[in-house]
Amino acid sequence: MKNQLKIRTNHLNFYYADFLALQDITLEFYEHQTTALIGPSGCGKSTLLRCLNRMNDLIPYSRAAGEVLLDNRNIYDPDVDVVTLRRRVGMVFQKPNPFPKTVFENIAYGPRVNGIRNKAYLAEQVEHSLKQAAPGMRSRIGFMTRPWASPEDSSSACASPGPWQWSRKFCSWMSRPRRLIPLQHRRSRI
Amino acid sequence: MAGMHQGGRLRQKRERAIRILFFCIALASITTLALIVVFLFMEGLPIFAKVSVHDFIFGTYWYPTDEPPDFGIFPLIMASLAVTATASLIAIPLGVLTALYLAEVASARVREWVKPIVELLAALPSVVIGFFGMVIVAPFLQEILDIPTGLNLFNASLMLAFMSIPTICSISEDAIFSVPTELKEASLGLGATKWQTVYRVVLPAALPGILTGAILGISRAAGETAPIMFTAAVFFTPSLPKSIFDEIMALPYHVYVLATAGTEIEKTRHLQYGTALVLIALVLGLNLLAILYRARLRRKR
Repeated sequence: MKNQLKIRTNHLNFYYADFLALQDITLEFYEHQTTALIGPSGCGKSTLLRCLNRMNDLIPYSRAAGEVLLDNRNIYDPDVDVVTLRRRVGMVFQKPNPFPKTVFENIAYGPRVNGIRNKAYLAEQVEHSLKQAAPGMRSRIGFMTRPWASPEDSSSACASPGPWQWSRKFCSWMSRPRRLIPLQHRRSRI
Repeated sequence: MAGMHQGGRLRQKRERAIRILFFCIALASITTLALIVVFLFMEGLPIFAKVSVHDFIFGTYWYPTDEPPDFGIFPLIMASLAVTATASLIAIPLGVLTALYLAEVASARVREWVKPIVELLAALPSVVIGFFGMVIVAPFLQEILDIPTGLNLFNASLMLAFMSIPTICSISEDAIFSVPTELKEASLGLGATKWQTVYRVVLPAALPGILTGAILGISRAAGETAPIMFTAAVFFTPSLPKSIFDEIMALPYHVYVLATAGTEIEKTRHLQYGTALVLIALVLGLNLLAILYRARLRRKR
């Protein structure tokens, strides 16, 4: 049985002010599948990823032309709630950027901002995350915060290249109920 | 290859010289401050031969012509604390929220115009602000609040807040703006709304800088004489102020009057030193508390 089409870009063009960073991109990403974007530095991989959950909205004077369809709905529609979008389409960053808070607060941040207040539940989830990761480095906190952002199981995830062993392990763990788009510079590392 | 060693030694000497130069310059600033405090201390000490430290600081009566004379400046200390506290209550929320607006909400163009204007407000002479308080705000307060006089503690606090807000806003805005974008992106990427990001990530991260702004703004207010001269301070009130709509005796103004218009200026010189010393102790003390708190915050991260 063929996997479902989850995300599709349709003639996507992306501008940083006057500079055309992405030119006429039409790509398909399927469920339960890992799709890798490979390319040299500066070719637009991160830009494309950021388009998928509208993180590029934060950059002033940038705009997207064309469509990005999540479950056949264009995420750039004016009536799309960006916050809900980002709860469904998460992101792992290339550079580890934990909050200057305790480890617990870092991991519990995701569920907390999504409305989960039950302390017992939070503690349980944090413990679960910690058990899955090896003892503490900053980038691992990054990996630990991602899965718990949304209680929805079918959320998709984008990933930028972290240390590649962790990425791979993380990817295989993540891609069971989810769909993953890792980024890499070299084919061999996929 | 021999030249490599020679060049290295000369460079090291130069580096050391520069380091010593910077150290001396810093030392000069600190020494100046220390000298002022020490000098005041030494000159002010003789007053404590006439009246005990306890009576001076905690005595509530100022009757220097009585026999024996009463030199209590407790009302002044209380008034200075009260006016500084009230001014902080007004200035800090306004300053920080304005800073938040400028750093997070305003578009780049609005920010370009509003920020310099706020900083320009800091350049208003304190005399002008005091004058404004006396001729415009006082009658206004008198009418609106139906009180006997508009020249009171509240008016003084308003004017002092007016003076502190630009400093607080400017420094807090820099602090909030400097929070690394990666932290904000991490939060937004997890599905937080903009305001959740602001109060859970941005404000805590900017807190040491905001505190710095608050410290600087408030210590300016605590030591200023001109605004309170025009709006609240009188040379003598019989008792402690009962409400914020009373007139007050204030430390800086007291020093001024004693030194220029008092009845026996030379004889009361040590009183002036003593009062000045208490004022410095108060302001430095407040600053020190705030700085220590900020250091504690910084150590926690």
